[in-house]
Amino acid sequence: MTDAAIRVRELRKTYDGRAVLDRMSFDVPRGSICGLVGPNGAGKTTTLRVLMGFASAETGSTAVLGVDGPMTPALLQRVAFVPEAKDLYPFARAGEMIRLTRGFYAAWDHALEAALVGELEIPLRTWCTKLSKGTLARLWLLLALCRGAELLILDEPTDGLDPVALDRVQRLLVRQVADRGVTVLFSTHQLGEVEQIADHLVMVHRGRCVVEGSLDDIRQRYRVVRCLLDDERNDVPAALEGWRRDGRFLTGVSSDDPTEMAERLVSSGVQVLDAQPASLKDVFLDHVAR
Amino acid sequence: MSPDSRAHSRPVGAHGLPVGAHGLQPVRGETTPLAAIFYRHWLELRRPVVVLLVAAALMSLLFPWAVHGVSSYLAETGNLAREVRNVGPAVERMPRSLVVAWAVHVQFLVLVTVLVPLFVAGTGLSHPSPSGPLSPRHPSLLFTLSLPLSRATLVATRFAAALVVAMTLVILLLLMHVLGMLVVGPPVTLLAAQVATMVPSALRGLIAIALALASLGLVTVILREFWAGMVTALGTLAALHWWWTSITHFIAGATVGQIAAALAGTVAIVAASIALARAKEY
Repeated sequence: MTDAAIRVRELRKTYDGRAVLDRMSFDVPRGSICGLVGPNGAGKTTTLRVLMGFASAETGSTAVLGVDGPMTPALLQRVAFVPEAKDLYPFARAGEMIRLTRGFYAAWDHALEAALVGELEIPLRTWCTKLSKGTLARLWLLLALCRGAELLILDEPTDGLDPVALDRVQRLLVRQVADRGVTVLFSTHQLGEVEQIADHLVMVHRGRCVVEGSLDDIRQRYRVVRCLLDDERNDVPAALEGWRRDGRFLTGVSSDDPTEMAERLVSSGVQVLDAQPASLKDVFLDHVAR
Repeated sequence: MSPDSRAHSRPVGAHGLPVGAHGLQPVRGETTPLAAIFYRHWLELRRPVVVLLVAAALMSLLFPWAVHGVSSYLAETGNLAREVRNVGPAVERMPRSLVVAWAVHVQFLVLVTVLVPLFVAGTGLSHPSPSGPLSPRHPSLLFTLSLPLSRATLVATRFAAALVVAMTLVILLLLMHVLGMLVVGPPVTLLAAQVATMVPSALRGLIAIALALASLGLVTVILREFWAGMVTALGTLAALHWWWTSITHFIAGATVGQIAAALAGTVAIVAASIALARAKEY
């Protein structure tokens, strides 16, 4: 059995001839909170849909909680999902949605349900069609958290939440991981949210995973490097292609060792001035802008 | 505890896995929670059921008047043989005293065959929404798909739930029509033989409804919202205009071969819906 709660290998999927997933590969360690980040259209939602079995990939493989292949009802007992579009049944009230979901899960946490109904301010008698976007998001989270799942797959779970609700939900997720050892994979556009609660990061762009690892490792690995071109050099060396140029100064993000980099570039007429730890935003923009 | 101070030092069990993580939890049963599945279908169907019950009540109230009116008309005009022959070939073998109430009952069954699928057909992958009567792509579909439930079970149980609704309605209509005959008066008398002719018709009506339910369910799996609505509307118009006589003949006196074909067709169409639902991406 693998130690990864989720293993994605070489997924490829095309829509109308356009590759939405292009050899997507990454792992999500058990017991981690993993942020799946990327620009719009990067393949985040499609990856989650393939993981959940809503869509299939043309090539590649997935394994969820050590089980290879597509989702089965037995595996779905151990996985909770919150989609990007957070509509619920138009023919049910909030309380009925809870009662309905409860019936499907042997490990349903009744105490947590009672606590969350109050904490997340769920209006039990209101029809789902009458719930606000934020309330729907909170109800979805309640339905996901109370299932007693080992893995939470959340697509933009905090979309539509006000700052107070956002804080509550983030605390809830962290508490679930701390108390029950669940694994959380959530997609988001908010890098601040990743920095706040995640300990693992998967950054995707154009259908591929471009950065993967623990947040601590990524912070140590990536640096914002500032270089100075020699007076006699006007063109940018191939190794620094895509770096931001301001006069004779070049700035970019690199995972190379700064000392080795300085030694390598000096022969190309480039002097490394300094290398500062990169923020997630720096890393994100560097990979997306490339 | 703030989100920043998340407990990376969470309790760790054997093999380094956190307590409560996979491998340390008891294996859960894989039985299908049927009660929960049918509760889901009930939530979806309860509003249409109310509408259909109101329709059935109206049909029950109208029955004595319809029977009385048709009987009087036929008695005055003497057109009994010609008029009731349209109900179906079986009518020619029946004593005239049984014909009228039975014929009216058959016509109401035809109406039910058109109405019930319109309100309760589906596969669980589509359901009524504010955007239209049939909405195969309502976003809440992802909630259904995330439940520990195979698509085959979902489609099959949803069909079964719709069939239960149809069965309830047909039985209710039969009972109400039998009771209705009691108040009709002289032209029709309540006879055991009369009931005996209505029961097989009700069963044939149920078979016709099952076929229509399965067909409309398949439409919602194949087609997107707009086209599903369009096909449903056109199908209903066609049923009312062109197929009314065919449905009437089936309910009035389908042969064993026709009944077997309808049942086989229903099973095949439900199987096709299941296969398509399993293969389809959402």
